[in-house]
Amino acid sequence: MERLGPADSSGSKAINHTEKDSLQEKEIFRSLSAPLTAQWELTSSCNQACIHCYNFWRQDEANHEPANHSTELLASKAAEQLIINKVFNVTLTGGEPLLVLNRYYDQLESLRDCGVGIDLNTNLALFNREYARKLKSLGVSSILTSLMSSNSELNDQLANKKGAFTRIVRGIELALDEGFHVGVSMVVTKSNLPDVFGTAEYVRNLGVTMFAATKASTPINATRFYEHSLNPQEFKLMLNELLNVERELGLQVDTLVAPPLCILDTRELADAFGHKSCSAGKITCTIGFDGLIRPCSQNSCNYGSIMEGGLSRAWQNMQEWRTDKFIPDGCRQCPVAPACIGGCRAEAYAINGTLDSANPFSSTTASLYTRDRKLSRRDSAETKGRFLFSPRLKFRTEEFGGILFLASSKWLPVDVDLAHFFLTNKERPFLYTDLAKNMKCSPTSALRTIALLEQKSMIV
Amino acid sequence: MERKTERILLAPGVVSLRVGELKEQKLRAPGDSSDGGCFRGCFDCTYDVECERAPDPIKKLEQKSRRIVGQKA
Repeated sequence: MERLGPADSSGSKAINHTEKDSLQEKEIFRSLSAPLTAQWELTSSCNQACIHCYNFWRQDEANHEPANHSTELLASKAAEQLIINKVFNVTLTGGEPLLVLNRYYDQLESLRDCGVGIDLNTNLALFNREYARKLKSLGVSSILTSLMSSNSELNDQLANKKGAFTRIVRGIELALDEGFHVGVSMVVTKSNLPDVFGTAEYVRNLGVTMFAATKASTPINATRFYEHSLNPQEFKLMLNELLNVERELGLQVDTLVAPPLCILDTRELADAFGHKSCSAGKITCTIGFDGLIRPCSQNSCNYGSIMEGGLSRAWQNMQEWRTDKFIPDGCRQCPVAPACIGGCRAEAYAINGTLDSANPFSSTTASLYTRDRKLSRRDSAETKGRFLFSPRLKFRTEEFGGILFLASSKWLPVDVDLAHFFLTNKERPFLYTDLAKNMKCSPTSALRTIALLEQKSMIV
Repeated sequence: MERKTERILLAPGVVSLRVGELKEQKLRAPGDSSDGGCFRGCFDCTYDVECERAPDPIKKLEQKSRRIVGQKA
């Protein structure tokens, strides 16, 4: 496969689908009518210059402005496309979105008015009360920010910005004070690996309840990044440190990029992180600051444009991400390959130059652990009460039935029968026996569905 | 592209988005074995479904994994 690289003024590479031999690809994931969620890069500009930044356009100043179309036109078109395609949730990102947020208020209000949920990824350095008020009015309740260390000097060094630590911490405190749910993501390289627990403890003391540590992926245009990048042993150390954070500090923990499942070589790691898999082009995509549409933010391949063809055509063009095309040869015999696809494809590309190459963190010698599944068992004796669907639950029709969506991590594909049951009962209480009758299954079986809906907080 | 699995239900009404190489079958809740059961192994399952049939698929998966590793070695 040809190495993809900056090929036009946007810095991203357009995919020519006439070159593809899709007949040899096997579908491994159903095609949805549109993504469930999208990342929207409001700008390529940033007030930090983190050494690990994955934005492939960051090192080329010429690529920092969208060509051909005004920012306002692109923004309006992007919002329109998100609404038309019934995308459930959009995450505002960048660059640093707070640098330009005020230019997007009209479009964001349109999204809110049409029921599109909005989240925000920001370093919070520019956060203030006015932003807080506006974001609340837009329905934003959740913010993901980034802090690289509890050591201010090290953080500023990694952010390439003196004073960044002080501004970020002030932003976190203010956001918490304003009632936002703030998650802190720590991007981990060799230099801050020893401070994972310390950073978690620091943000816990600020009042944060969710902490993620994610190993820095090799940025596409970076040189000598191996000097910073974790090796597999260090990566496992980081994951185990997250488990310590969960145990000892009581924080909700996560890692934000799906690891190859074979690196999770203990039952504990598999249980904690084995549920993650790449969602690029399957349930999500990224709309770039230039209007080009990519499978994920770390990927430089574009499959269409907001301005030409729109989100729907780009999503169709991404079909290859729903096939086995990018599974590395060395992973194809693995029983979990369709779920794992060999780990992050953007990282494999950044290091090896091809999307179907091996991820450096995959292993052919590890034992695979399956995840322990925990779903509280519903007993008919304790299920005499009535249930009510969450008023925040949204629905979108698909060819197999539809999607019930509560949040980016809480959604469920359902068949026509359950979709119909939801649509006819969404505003009135029901018994589990009503569900069983509608689903034409036994009451005992219906309790499985009840338990799953409960686990996803979709019924109360 | 051939789609071998049209409908996989993990609990009544719930659909899997993963397309596997199973015979087409409509799965009922684990334990409700009249329609078959889940043989896909937990990694193929998007959901946190506790599966009463899990011990066998897990064992198979781990055995298969070891066998693959052995072959490579």
